[in-house]
Amino acid sequence: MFYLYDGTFDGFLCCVYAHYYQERADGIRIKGGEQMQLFYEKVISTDYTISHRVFDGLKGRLGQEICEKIFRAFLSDLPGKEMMTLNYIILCLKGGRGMDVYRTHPDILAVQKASECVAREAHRFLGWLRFSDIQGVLYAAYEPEADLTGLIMPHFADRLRHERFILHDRRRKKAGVYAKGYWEERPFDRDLRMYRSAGEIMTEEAWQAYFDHIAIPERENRKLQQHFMPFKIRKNLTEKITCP
Amino acid sequence: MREETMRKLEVLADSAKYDVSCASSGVERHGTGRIGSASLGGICHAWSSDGRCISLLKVLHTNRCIFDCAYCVNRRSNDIPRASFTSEELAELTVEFYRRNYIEGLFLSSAVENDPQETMEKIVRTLCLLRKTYGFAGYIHAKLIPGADPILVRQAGLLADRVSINIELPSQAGLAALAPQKKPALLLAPMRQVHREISGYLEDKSHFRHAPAFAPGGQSTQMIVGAMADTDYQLLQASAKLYRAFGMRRVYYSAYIPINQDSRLPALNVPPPKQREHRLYQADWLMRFYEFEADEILDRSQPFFDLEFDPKIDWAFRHIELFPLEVNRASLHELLRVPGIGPTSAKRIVRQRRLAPVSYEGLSRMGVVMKRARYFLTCGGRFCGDVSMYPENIKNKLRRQDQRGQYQQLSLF
Repeated sequence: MFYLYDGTFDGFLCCVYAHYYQERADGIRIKGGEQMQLFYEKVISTDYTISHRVFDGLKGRLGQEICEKIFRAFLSDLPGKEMMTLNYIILCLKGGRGMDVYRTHPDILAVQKASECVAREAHRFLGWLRFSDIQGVLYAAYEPEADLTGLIMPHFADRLRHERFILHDRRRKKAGVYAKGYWEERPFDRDLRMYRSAGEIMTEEAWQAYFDHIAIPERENRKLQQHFMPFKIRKNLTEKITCP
Repeated sequence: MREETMRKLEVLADSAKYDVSCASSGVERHGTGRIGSASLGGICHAWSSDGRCISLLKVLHTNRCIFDCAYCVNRRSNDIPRASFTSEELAELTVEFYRRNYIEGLFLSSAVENDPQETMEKIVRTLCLLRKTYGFAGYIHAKLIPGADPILVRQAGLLADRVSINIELPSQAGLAALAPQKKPALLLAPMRQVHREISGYLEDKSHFRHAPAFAPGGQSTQMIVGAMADTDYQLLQASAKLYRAFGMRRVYYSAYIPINQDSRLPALNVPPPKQREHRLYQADWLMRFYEFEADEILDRSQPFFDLEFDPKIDWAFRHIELFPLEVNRASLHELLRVPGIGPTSAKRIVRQRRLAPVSYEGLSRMGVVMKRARYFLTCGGRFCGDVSMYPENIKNKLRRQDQRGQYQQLSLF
């Protein structure tokens, strides 16, 4: 049976439920995709009571660490991530939480790699994000490979707890919005950077000046710089990196 | 932000850039103060064109200095633009940069403008303003000024996450020659005090949950490589002693960049010894994460690093009788000694061995660098490097591997 779901983690957990309690899953994908209908397909509607039940069950039997791995692997933008994650869940439920150390098993390696990749990207963006103060609201735009907004909002909600801020994922046209201790994700597709005030641009220039002056010219190493700040993220940075 | 602040920022960043340390790690803090947090692993925000990370806003409070240390850009006899921040300017700048996520915190150092006491007071005042008035809970790294009062050192430790004082040269003779105004006793006294205070804090913390934190990120220091004729052996012994005696979190090494014309120093056209610096860092990592002792890495008969091969594989060549090791039987300590295996992959091997034997193919999936490790391992009894166990043979193999990909297209005409 091929299951179709709405693309959310809760929807995916409902597919996991269907796999165990209805019929074996041969494939899981997002409904409304461009793929043609070839096999028997079934649309799984997202039911939060079921998804919470599945997640609590996984957490109870496999522990926090493995559940976080599952969640992160699901957030990656790999094709076929749903079946990859499902196979991992099946293996872990069979073998218990000790199964996760079997790193050379192909199904386990795939999820561990995906999870590491998402965690690495999330960590990098904690540093790469740049906010602009727009009439008292902090606004940052970014274009991550994985769906990171939910992973990195808690970090900034803690750090900038008395501010209001918007974290705009341009690729997915959505944003994490924080104010007064609460945050949520919602659809969003506007570029607020053009509303920067003159004072704001002055602060950006100060940062640019600092950025240029802190480098030691005798040790110039553009290749190393490019390794840590690849071209794909540079257009959303405040500092402009000049190429010689 | 005013023009004047911007100009000061440029001048004082230029003066601070030769300080190496920029780590924002070692402290996990959430939900205190009005703005800010700290994350255990540290976060890097940008990388300047020399490839070094920018994690903290690294500036001097002032670069007007009464000292005349030979190696320093800010020495009294240099003709460079001079500036000083006020505490208010600096605190505002830090918070404005911080809330835009440009930086992870502040790294505050200073030249000695009139006397050490007054300079240290200014640093403590700025930290106080940031922590108390702005409620800043981000990372702060503060430099201690040699010769400052112990009370001020204590106050700085209570406000900052990490404190440091640069030893710069590994020997007393070197210090006397290049920085005659810096007395070794004045450098070591605050280090000893900080070590004592940190131990006291750790002891208190185990009894009282709210014991005031003293430099929870520990202390660090820095040594210059290549300014004097010190050997790598001396440098490594000095840093081993610093780790042992003062509980240093980090010792940084900085390849000396000739910026001053001085008969006591290398000439201006000598390139910085970056490879030596790199080898020192590798050796430093071996001491901190790979259970190596300083004496094992270098000794009197071999006082310099091999610049061609890294210290770990060099050690393995000198102890070739211990290899090859069987992956499925070696202890964690032994695995850590294999070139190409690091702490993460060693732990993965040990963990997986409980479930299934580790195969040759599995090793690279564990993150082992097979390019080096294959000459030093057997997998289930099978030796994986296709060469006899003589250091010279292995070295030749490795050289040939490195040459691959260095071919150039020939010009036809």
